[in-house]
Amino acid sequence: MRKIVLAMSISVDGFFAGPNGELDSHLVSDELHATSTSTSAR
Amino acid sequence: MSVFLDGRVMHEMTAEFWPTADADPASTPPMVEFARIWRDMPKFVFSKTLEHADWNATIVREVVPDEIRRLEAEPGGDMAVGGAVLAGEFMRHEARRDAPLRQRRRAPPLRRSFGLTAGSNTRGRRSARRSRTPSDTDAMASRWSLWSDDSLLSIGSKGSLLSIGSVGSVLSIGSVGSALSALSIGSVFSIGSIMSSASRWSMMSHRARTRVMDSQGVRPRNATS
Repeated sequence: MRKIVLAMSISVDGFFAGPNGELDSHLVSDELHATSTSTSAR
Repeated sequence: MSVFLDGRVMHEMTAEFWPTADADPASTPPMVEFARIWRDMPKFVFSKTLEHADWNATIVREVVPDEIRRLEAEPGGDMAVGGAVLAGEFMRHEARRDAPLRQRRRAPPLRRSFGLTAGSNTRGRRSARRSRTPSDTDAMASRWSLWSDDSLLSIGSKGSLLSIGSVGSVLSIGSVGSALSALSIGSVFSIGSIMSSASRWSMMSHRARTRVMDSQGVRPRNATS
């Protein structure tokens, strides 16, 4: 059975997005992009 | 991943960026590869109002647990949930399902799992806790108050929506490396730490990765998942 996984960034104090839904606080390095891409490809 | 389960906002945000991301010379190789993955991936977009969705997407009006379980039972890679409101909805269902029988009727309503913050600081968090007035903004900026208001285990202990609160993701969230770096560089950390299980993403390697990220500088990007 496949699992449902949460594929989102979350701040340490528990927020996904800013007050208006903005994701501009997300910090995505190349290595992180590579990680998320390889995870998605599985 | 075999399916993306996205909220409407998340879908629209990603659909604006990823379809053509591999044509952008500024895109890195992982981004180019992800653009292809994104386009081909079967998607379910959860929305009460959306009329049309492109890119291999099926619109679903609401989260029906039995339907989700049926999807889970199909073969394939895991399914990725994206979007603050949708994640809150999944968590609400999971909390209800895992709660002891006597508590089920008191499972928190969806709105209670949302909060609003002007930033990521403690003051914002406290005021968010006091604010129970629902608004659109509340819905946009949801937070995991379920994790603190109720027991973490009641959400993530077991079951089919497991990974939303599973031990693996929680350990990743709480690992020393990511917590410290996130606090120092803006209280945000990565999709990678949630998507990786704690066993594969050890604390040591995470610290090393974090240092690399710090030393190379970081770039804000929208629509990363």
